[in-house]
Amino acid sequence: MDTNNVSLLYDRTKTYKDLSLIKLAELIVQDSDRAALNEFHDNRELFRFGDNPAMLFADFVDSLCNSCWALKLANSNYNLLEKARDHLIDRFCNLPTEQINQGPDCRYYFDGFREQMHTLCRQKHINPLETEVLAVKTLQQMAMRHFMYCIKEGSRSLNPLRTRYQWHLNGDIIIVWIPVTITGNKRRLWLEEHIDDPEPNRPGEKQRIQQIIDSELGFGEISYMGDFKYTLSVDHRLKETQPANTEDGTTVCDIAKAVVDEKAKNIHLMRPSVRILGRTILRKLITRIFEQITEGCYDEKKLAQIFGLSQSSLTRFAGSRWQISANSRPPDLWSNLAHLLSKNGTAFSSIARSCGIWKQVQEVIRVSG
Amino acid sequence: MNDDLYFIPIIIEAFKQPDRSSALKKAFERIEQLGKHDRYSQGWRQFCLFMNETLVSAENYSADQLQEKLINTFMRPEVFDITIEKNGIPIETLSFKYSGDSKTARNIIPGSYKLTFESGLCIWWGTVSAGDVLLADLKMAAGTEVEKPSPTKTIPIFEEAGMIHFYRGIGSGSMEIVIKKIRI
Repeated sequence: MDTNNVSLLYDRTKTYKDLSLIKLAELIVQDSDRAALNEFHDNRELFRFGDNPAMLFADFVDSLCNSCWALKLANSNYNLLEKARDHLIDRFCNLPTEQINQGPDCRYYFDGFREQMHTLCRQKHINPLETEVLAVKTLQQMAMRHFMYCIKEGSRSLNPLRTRYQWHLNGDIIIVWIPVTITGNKRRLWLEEHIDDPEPNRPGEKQRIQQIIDSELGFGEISYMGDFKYTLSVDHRLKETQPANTEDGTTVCDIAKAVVDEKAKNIHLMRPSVRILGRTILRKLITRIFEQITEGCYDEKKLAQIFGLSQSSLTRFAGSRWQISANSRPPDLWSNLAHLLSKNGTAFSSIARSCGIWKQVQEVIRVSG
Repeated sequence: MNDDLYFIPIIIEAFKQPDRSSALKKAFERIEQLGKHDRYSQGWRQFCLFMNETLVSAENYSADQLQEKLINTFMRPEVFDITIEKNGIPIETLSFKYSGDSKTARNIIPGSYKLTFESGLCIWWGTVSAGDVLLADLKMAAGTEVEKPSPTKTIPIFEEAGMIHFYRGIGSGSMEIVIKKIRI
């Protein structure tokens, strides 16, 4: 039996699983159909990249956020990346009701998808299978595009205590974000004093300058009383189970100490779940992690308990087992260590290359997809 | 030593040494040697991703370049899957190229079948009869080995998107799914 008229099937059985994407989007937009939205998120493995199998929307978003390119695009700001992820998920998941009408409305985004499909299909004479292939492709491109918008939106909304500043340099302009505490002409003076050799046309220059600003001036973040209370309670609990104080560097060597210092300094860039620990506790946590790894007794579960973190938060921060693929990156702490080593004057990468290890690295990454 | 992170203390130790370059060379050799053991195979692969991260972070990219990298990495490959279900149970998933493709599912026996595109869209469903896929006697079976058999039944998919051909066999037959070039 030919089932070209799929809507008949839907009407008869009230099942969603056979519906085309456009029909699902139509139900979400026109009828606010929550079951159709659930069908999209729970059962439709539409998204794929590289050699990976098709995956659900939420898994695709996680893959996007876990890529090394996304982290670089977010200026190594894990907090921003997590915000962008939440924004993106909300845009495609949040279906407001009369009682709860907060956050984005996914109907606008699915409607945008429908409109785009309508325009594309009008331009081409394509059969229903091609329409569905086009729908899947369009939706994936749309998710990508919105991810980039969400990074921009996250960057703007992350902190109302920063303003955009246009730095004029030899006829060119670099747009950066500067804390509102520095005003007027002082912004230019600060930049001239702290940014070495600015070159607007150099690739990645804007990112480099923004990183220096963020690192030197921070985000001037807003602290909430709830967070403060929570931090206090964690501090209190730690008095009994405090890790050995290694501030004098007796057990942790320089490179680990450098990571500890860098993380503590840039705590504002960390994920909220880790940032909430505060600088002092974070220092102790990272020091303890390096100690345990060096001693061969790294116990993630126990450390998470001691430091008041969920196990998943600690896994994302410094998990010992990761997924290997060319598009993913190690957990935050190991990623930071890699960044630090790449910037190290000892030419870490060139020594690795001279040892012949680089080829093998590339091969493993290639095979892992 | 933590097996999956075995390379981290080795690198840290190398950085403690006065002759750091030489110590790092030795460290890389040791990491490589240990990586050959089963015990450290996951750790070796993690080390490779870690090293790849040092490479990525050493490069400078503009925002446009980064967006391009992200788009290229997450670009959809020009393939799609069609799943065959028999009596509501998935029995096989076949992968097709956009450029036009043909795939054959074997061991097809009479029953209710459904073909589903990876988005969930049903592209065909119907009943496959014994006459569609089973040979009546062994004499005919012998004949089919010499010449290319002709399909017992051909069904169009969405009129022009492709065709499904059924062939008879001994005990079970086959279903060939032909998809024309995707023009999008």
